[in-house]
Amino acid sequence: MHDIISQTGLSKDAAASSCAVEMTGISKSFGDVRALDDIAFSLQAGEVRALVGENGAGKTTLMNILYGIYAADEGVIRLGGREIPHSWSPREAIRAGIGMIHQHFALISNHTVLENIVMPLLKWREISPSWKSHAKRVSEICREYHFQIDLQSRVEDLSMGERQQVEIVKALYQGAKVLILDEPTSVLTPQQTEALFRFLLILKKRGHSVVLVTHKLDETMQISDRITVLRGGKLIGTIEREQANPQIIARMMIERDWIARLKVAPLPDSAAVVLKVRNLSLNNEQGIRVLDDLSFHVRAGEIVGVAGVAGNGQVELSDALVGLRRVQQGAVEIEGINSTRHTVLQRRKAGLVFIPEDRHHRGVVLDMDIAENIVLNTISEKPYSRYGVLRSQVITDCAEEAISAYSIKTPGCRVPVGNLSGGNQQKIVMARALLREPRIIIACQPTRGLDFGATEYVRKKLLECAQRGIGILLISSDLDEILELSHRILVMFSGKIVSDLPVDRVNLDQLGLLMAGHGRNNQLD
Amino acid sequence: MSEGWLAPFLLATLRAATPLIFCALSVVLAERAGVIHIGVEGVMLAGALAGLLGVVFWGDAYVGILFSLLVGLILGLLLALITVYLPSDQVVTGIVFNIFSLGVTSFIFRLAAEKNAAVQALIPVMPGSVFGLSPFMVLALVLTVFMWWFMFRTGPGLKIRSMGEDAHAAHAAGINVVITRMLILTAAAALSALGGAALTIGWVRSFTDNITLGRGFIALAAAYCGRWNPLLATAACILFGAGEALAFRAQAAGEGLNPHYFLMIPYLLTLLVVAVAGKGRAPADVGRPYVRR
Repeated sequence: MHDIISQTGLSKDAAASSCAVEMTGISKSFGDVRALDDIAFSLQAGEVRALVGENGAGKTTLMNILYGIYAADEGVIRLGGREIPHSWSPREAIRAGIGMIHQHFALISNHTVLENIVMPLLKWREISPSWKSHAKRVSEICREYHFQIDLQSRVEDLSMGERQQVEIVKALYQGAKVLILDEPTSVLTPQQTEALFRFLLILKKRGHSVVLVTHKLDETMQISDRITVLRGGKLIGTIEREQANPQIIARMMIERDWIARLKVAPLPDSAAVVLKVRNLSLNNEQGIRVLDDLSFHVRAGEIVGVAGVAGNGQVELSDALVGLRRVQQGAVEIEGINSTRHTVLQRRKAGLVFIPEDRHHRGVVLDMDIAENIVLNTISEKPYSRYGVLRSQVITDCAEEAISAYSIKTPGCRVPVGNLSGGNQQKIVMARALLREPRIIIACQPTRGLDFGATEYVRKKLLECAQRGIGILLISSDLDEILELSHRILVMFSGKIVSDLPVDRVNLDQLGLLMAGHGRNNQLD
Repeated sequence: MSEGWLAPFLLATLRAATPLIFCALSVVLAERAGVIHIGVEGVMLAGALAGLLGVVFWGDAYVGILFSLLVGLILGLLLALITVYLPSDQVVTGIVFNIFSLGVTSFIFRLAAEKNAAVQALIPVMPGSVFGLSPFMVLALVLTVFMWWFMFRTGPGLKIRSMGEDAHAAHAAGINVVITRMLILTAAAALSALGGAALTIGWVRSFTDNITLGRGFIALAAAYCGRWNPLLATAACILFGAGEALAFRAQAAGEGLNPHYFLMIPYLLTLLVVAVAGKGRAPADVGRPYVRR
């Protein structure tokens, strides 16, 4: 890593050339929300720029405007000194040499790699594209930058890291001189991240500009030349990397000091096992084995982290534990009672609650109000309903209590949940999960998409639950979160648990290797 | 059954399948681009009437076909404005449009009949048949192969399929999703109208209220069974056409049994085939309107 850091700093000829991109006075509103307010942003050739800020700061929106996905309400964009036309669209942005790699890849998963890379360049009148010469030139780019992707395989069969490479090759093949990457490392292992950064520095050396949209400070410090900070749709400032450190950037991002690391309390040896999983196996709809002979347990007051690159069986594991999917083999025991055949409701009554990964589709009903969402699980039980009729006052009281206990920011408890921010929505999910003191919490990506404040709140709440003796299975792709909160860490790779170790015996590098399927730890319980 | 029944049966099959093939291809085209084309039934019905009126008032089968195509284009543009440009829900719009079309065609048919009684009579047999194969049948088969080649072997085909799989990805790749989907839906509607013309000009040579009798929906089923592949969709249409041919043949041969039972055959066959065809993988983004913010 050290040699990478030493290569930063603008090259001379790059600094001499005019600004590659110059955005001034950019404003954009979505409905009543002012997403961007009078932002100025300029980028020079041969520069790696980090664009940082919390969720909702407007980073992605700003870049989407540059790439023509959104139209700005106000403001001027100049490329190489020339103002862009009013009818700016991705097609024109591509032609002008701007490539953007979205956090959610813009790839057609049913099509081949080559088709995905070539498609944006095809003209409508090109009846029979010369696939062979396209394939040859794409292969050359792959060789040049040491990417190993099979051009004929379908995108849906590729890993997230490989898909990102396809996106990068696609942008380069379109002739991108400015490459925008939106949260590029969120789906990568630490090793893949390092490889990506090495590639970005090669790109920079060749005179390309890179914009790295991120909220991770470490990577910002690692490779960027300059750092631009946005907060709440406003430009806070741009600083040289040499003058920056994580504390300074964090302060610019959140108006308060860097959050102290949370500390997990040690677990007494005598704690009883609350969740026991034995030889659990599950096939998906296509008959592919997605969970393969999993065995582990969670004790009362213990937080067990499940690490792994997304798509290695984590979703299926949580579904199987909660009772949303039927397993082919194995058993799930809740406090010693075999619950393998139990329904979701039976499991919940036994004390197992769920914080789902997909907040919008499974966590809350966006169109229903806060009170309704909070009692959603228990709505058919006393005291919230009697003889099948809801008791509105009891429900309202309960919601008011939750709103103050969890400090949910809302004008009232009868506001649709869809109007709240992600962090407040997650607080509602937690309030509901904890409404009846549970024994086990299955928490999936509980802080995904949340900003600093909300993330910290959710994590603290989980620690608090553990202290009260609730067993927690924490499934997360955020390694820092797992390392910070867990007593024990399981690593999942292609449906298997490849490692099961106490937190003091693992480190980040080792986790990264295990997550990528390298090396296997035999010390399974 | 009499001797030598096979050739007439196959011909009857193809004759019944031809209108379905045009409509199924139109459904494949629209849905590959990401727009659900429930309105196929209504456009087909309008195309059927337009074709017949064209023949009656201008006296030429080909003018009838052109008129039918024109009506298809106009209705397609209307559907595209509502479901792609505005956009409103594709399924609801399609269903309402079909009901609208049923009423309007019946109304216009009566108006036209007042003007010219020939509208209610049989129109002449379309010229240009070779070995009993009408130009419509030949065109349907040629179009099937062309559509397959266009969809899966050409650049524009790839771009259209990209739109149906992921409109946002297609937009990010520089495709103007709204305009392109509107054009595709308009072209698809012209094809649906051609299916109607194939029914009235190429086959039954007359018009009655709701003459399509749900054939547009059968074409939707054929596109589904054919996994949105033109070749397979046409194969499904031929299978359904065989059901219809069988219905006529059985009706002619069967005694004692109420003929309405035989007329159920094609619909029951469609239901059965859809039931056993299993779940196909539809274009992933079909039915979701694309809205640029």
